[in-house]
Amino acid sequence: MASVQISNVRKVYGNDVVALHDITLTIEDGEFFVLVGPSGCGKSTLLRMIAGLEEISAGDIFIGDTRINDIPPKNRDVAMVFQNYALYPHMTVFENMSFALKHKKVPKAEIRERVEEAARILELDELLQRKPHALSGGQRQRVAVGRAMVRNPNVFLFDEPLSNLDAKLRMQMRVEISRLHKQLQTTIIYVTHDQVEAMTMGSRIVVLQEGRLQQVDTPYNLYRRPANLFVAGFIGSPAMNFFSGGLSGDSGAFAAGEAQLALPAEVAAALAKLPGGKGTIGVRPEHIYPAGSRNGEPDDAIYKVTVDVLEPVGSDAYVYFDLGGCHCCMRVDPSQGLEAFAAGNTIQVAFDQRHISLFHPESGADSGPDSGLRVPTGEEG
Amino acid sequence: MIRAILKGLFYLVLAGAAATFLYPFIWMVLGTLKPEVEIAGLKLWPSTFTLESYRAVFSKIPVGRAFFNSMLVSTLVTASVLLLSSITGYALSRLTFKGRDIIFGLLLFTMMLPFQITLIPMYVLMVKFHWIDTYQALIVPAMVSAFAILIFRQSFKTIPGDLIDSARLDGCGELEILFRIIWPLSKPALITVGILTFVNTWNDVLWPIIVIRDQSMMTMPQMVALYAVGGQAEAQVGNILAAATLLAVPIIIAYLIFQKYFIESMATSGLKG
Repeated sequence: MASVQISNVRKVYGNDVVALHDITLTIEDGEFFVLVGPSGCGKSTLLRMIAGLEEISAGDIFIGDTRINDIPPKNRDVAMVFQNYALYPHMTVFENMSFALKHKKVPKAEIRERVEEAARILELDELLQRKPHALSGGQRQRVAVGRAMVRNPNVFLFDEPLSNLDAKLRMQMRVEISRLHKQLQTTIIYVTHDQVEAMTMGSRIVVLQEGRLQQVDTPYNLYRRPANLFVAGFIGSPAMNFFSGGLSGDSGAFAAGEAQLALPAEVAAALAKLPGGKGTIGVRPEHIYPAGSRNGEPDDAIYKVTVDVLEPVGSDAYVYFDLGGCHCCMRVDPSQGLEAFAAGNTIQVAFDQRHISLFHPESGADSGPDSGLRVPTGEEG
Repeated sequence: MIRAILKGLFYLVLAGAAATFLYPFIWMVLGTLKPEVEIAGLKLWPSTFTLESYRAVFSKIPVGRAFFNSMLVSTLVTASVLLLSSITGYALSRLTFKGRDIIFGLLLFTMMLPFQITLIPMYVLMVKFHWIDTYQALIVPAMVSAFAILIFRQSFKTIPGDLIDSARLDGCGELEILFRIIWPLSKPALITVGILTFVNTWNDVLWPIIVIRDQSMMTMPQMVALYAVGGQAEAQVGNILAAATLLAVPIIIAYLIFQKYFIESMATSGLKG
């Protein structure tokens, strides 16, 4: 096990295509660290640089105390699980799992012991003599994990390992990998574009966009205190609702399109400090609710809207409507009945004033009061 | 009913086409077993079987030695082409280095040059190296093939890059990646190149005729060509056919063994035979 230190790392392709801009990160020993971002953000490139499969254009990477920039992949003591499993098709499961150990000239008895132990943990005992083509997607993925496990590496690298699995299997494997991490306590660096995977598995997450680091934090903080518009929009499904506009006279209201949105006094004060009193406010779908639905609590402001689409997804339902130039999404509880939210109906909605984020009009940076949005310190929803 | 008749007709046409291809070969083989006087006749089956033509061939030319020479040269050339061309194909498909695409372009260019253009410079080289009448003259110029490099490059490009990265992380060097991961996954390409190289080398007449004069160094096709047109066959068609049959046998055996892979590879690579 070891920590990983990434210091001012850059990746430049050719002369001018910059894939990563001065990335600096510290991944603690035993941490489950997730790199997340949209396609092309540079997350896999960074992972491959740690593995030694991509050259480092500038900066340093340390595993433990060792600078690994010039160390070949095989000597970095890292094991990688690839998106498409990368199992050797001409070898059996046992041969696949033991390949690296044979290469290291580990004694045969020890190889057998280590492979059988990994196979037992991953429930692959019965499949050791099969070839990859005779396995299901989930089994192949487990073999790929087992192949990395038997090497007892300092760091596990996972490159979108669940992307090729169906939704059910993906959820199952998510739990298995998390359990495995608890068991092995090895440092894991995990790349995904799926923010649900990132939120459920990572002890810390880094969000990347166009090769730039956007925010590094725990899943909870990332969701509650997004550092900028990009993170706020990327983390959370459905995404946060954004309203662009500015302060409307001295009323303290926020003018967004034709709508006048009420703001809490601290947010309005913070907005007043932004250039021209302009900014973007963000409200998550679960912080918009049908007016009058909070038991006994008064609504701060009520907006009349027309339902565009109703999207029931089982445990929740999402109601879409237009308000203040934003195609908004509101989460509702289907057990309370959905008849009122049929498309075309006019409904009244209100915002939970405790959960309104504010972002800078140009940089998109979090500009809410108290050096961020007014984040609740407790666990209230 | 009509469909069944059409299908029958279709198979009949195909059988006729197959017979057209096979007939000359069958005629040649049976011709070697006929008395000389019957060969010119229309009858395919001999009235009496005789091995006289083969006896004549074996008594007049050193078939055993020529067979050995051909086998040695074809085997070594094939092994060398498989080894060296696959290494080059791997470098051109999987490694990044300056000038890679230029080198590939040059290789493609050499494929466009007819052999007759390089024939004289090559001969001059052989003379300068003092390789005339040696195995080196037959083997060294054919040790790498641009065509084989092209086939390997294209075939290796289809292997997922993650497999190669995975092997690299597992501790393999480039040659180990090639021989332990890529070769086992490229059997059809290897067999296609192997068969084509072996057949081309085995059948080559022009180059051996130019660089080999010593009868003990001659290859089978060279020997058979000289035997047929050089007067030793004494205008006996049976003898010429027997020599030609002996020449074709190893190729047919090789094809029968590897035909499954050969056809598979032709189908997947879109190559024509």
